[in-house]
This record gives sequence, structure tokens and C-alpha cells, in this order.
Amino acid sequence: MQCTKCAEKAVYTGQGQNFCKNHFINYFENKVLRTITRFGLFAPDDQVCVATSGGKDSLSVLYMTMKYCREHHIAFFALAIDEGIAGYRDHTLDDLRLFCTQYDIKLEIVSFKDRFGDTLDNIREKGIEKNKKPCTVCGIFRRTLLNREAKRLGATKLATGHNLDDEAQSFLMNTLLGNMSHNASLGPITGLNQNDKFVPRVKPLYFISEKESRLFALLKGFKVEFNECPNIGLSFRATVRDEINAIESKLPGAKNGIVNAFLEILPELKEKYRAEKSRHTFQYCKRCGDACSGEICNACRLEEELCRKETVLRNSKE
Amino acid sequence: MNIFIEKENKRLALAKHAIRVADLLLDLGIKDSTVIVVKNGTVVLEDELLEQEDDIQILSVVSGG
Repeated sequence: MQCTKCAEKAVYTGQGQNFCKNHFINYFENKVLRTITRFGLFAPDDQVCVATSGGKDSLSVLYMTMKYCREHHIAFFALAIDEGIAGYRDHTLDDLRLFCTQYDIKLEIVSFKDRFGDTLDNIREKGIEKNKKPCTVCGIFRRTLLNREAKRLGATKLATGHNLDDEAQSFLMNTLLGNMSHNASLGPITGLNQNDKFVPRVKPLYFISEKESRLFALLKGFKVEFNECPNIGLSFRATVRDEINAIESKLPGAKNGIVNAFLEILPELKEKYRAEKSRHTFQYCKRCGDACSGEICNACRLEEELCRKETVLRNSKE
Repeated sequence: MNIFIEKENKRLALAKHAIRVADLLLDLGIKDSTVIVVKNGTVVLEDELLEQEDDIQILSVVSGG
């Protein structure tokens, strides 16, 4: 198959076009830069924190943020969370360190162990609440740490590597569970209401599929090893992901269709749930001071639970 | 042909004279939207003909976690 734009052999086909290596890279970069401009993801006075893990999406979003920010003289840095998942995160962090050295990017790494007292592996081992899956614990701690650390480091935007597949999955997961208010918080800029406790999250790879992201990383020569989290098979997301991929194989463009349809209803969803949410004033966690919906935030509740488990375990050994 | 399936970290030696990428993926039960196929170090598309002496990598595009 030949590139639609030149005589070279195509390495990508999608959206009715075929691209060779160079034209694919142009297509990818233009799509991300258009997303940043279209949704106003970065402003001239921003300090951008890029949430990274060393995987294909985070290296691609870090590279594209670097490209945009250096061209527009916007300050940026990378932040990684080490959850403590042996044989998984340690490998991706090695790839990330190498990448940041190569491109001269400031990198901050913070761990669950330093900030919450234990690794995710140990937390899982202790069996924190039987009905909680490791992905739930990991998600709460990761979200909290990314926000807290980005804030501590002076960030005004938090750029994440969420891509088209992630958004299509999240939208369907929320819809299947009937959580339309959660859908209202999705979109290229997440959240409903501004609060100085939250660093706004933005998604430059919003229209980039996983396949495009991996292909970009591969063609740019980023060192990305396939490394699947050992806990992924336990998640609802994995089920939805596999179903959407099965549909995409039969109906190419389905992921784009889902996300574009979602974007059409997003303004109404935001308006509806913003109005509902604004009737309730923000509460602040009594323990850490973060904005939350109850007396203490989910991360602090988990931390307390972890301490209780620790005490029970210690007492049972004595 | 030698085939490496990244997701399963599995290597296969397949005795086929010639097969298209699309048919190989179908035979292996792999959905094309979840992989990138590399032939002798170059990314190829579903219509590419693979021959006995080719070295094939099937790379996963699915997120790690």
C-alpha cells in the first residue's frame, strides 16, 4: 500500500488515508498540536506538569508537550508516580529516566511508599478491604498524588497521556454503570468546577488512538517495552477495552465515533452537573485539606484503613 | 518464518511459504486494531505478503495499566 501523499510505502492506514513514516509523524504531531490549540489546553503563563510513567502514551505526550512548550516558551516538567509494582513500574521508570536525560527534561519521581507508607504490592498483600480491587486503590492514590505533587511543584496544568481509547472506554464504563455525572467530568479538560485545590487536567492525546501512539513511539525510536500491569486483568476497564477493540476490528473508526458522539453531548452534561454541583459547597478533608465530598478524602480514608490493617497484622504476630 | 508475539512474550516458528499479514493475524486470533506488525525491522500493513525467511514481530498497542 502506498502513502496517500507520496510514493513511499505506507506504514499506517486510517481515516481513509495511508501514510508513510514521515507523513504519519506529521499527521500525528499536527493532530496533537491542533487539539492543544482547539481546546486551549496550555496558556502562555502556564507551568505544565506532565504526568508520566514511561509507557508509550506518556512518552508521546511528554514529547509533544515539550515540542509545544519549548516553541511557545512555556515552562514544563515531568512527574512520575512509583506505585511499587515489582517487575512492572521499575522497568517503565528506567525507560522514562533515559528519555528525560536524552531530551533534557526535569523529572520528579514520588512513590506510594514515601507518601503513603507502603508499596501497592504490599497494600494488595495486606488485602485492604476485600471488595476493593488493586486498581481502585492505585487509582485513588495515583490521582491524589499527581494533584498534590503537581500543586507542590507549582504546576498550573497537569497534562496526562489519556488517549482516544481511554476516553471511549471511560465514557462506556460510566454509561454502562449509569454514572452520567462522571461522564460530565471527562473531556479534553477534565473536571466541572475550578477549585484552587485542583490542578486542571488536560489531555493532548485526546484524538490519538493507542495504535497511533505506539506507532509514533516506535517510529520516533522511543525506548518503550511492552509491559502490562499484572493487575490489569482484574479491572472492569480491561473487559470494556477488549469489547471496544472487537467492535473497532469489525467497524474501523468506531472509537472515533464514540468519542465524537460524546463530545456532542458533553456541553449539556457539563452544564447540567455543574449546576447541580454548584449547589453544594466544596468541603475540605479534615486530615489533609484537599477538596473532597465528605469529611475526609478517599486517599486519607484508605491511608487510615491501611494503618488499621498494619496494627492488626502487628498484633497478630506478637 | 519466525514470529515474536510481544504481549505473550512468545516465539513461534511457522512453516508457511507465504501469507498475508491479515490472514496471519486471523490464524493467530489477534485483532488487527490491537497490534502493529513489523517485518524484518519495518512496519507493514495488513496487505503485506510475508514469506518463509521473514522475521516477524507482532507488537501490542494496548496500554500497560
